[in-house]
Amino acid sequence: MTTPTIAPDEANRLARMVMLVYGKMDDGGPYWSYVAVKPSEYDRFTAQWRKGGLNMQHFEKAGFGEVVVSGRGVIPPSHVTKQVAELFGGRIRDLFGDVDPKSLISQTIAKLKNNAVQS
Amino acid sequence: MAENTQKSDNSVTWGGVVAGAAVAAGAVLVFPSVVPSLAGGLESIGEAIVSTVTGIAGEAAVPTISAETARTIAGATLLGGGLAYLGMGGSSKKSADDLFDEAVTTQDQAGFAAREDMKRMQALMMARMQVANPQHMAELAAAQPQR
Repeated sequence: MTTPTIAPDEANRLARMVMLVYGKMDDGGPYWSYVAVKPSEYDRFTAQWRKGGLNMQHFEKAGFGEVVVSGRGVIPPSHVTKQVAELFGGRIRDLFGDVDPKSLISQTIAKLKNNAVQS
Repeated sequence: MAENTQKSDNSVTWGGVVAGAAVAAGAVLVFPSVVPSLAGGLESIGEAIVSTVTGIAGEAAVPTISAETARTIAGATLLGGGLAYLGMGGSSKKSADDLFDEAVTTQDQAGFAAREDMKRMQALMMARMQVANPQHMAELAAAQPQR
């Protein structure tokens, strides 16, 4: 199935890649953060953290998207993960799956638009 | 989000980055989310996120049962009461109690399934974090106090 083309502005208005970012605090302890990355910024975000240049204090100013929640520790508490899943309409069993997020978002938006036209 | 929307208890900061968090060592995809219809006149998912986390940050940090569990409990109570009212199956009191017990068992099974889902999800989360940056995870493991 070919991936439909969705305008970046429309994808940014309707969708986010929910990501779990993690690293070290200034004091050496671990931190985690759930963030919502705009689809148009996904590639830039990925490239930046991979080369070690993503400072979480500048995440929003850099235009990547929104910081949802963050905290100290290796992984988020389960009640926080559950709340984030509910916030974005996801089910626990669907989290951290092996999917192509950009294709999935494009297909979902295209399907929604198609349904809207038919109704 | 403005800093004054942040609120933190001892462990989490909603709507912002916990103080002291610096360079990211890794990032894993949780899931892609599409929100086709947004209530309240909001124009975008970005605004919806800001509005929602601001609301969460403004609430007292107390643990709450999930909406699903609350509905299950309420449903069990209504089921027992409703069918007893209709006089279905034996004496109304026994019928209501039996039905309530069945509903509670169903709720227990749902709770067990939810806990198992959570365990699997957390194992998958750790596995993804390991793949994204094995060196960082190894350093964290080495820093753990030996038992």
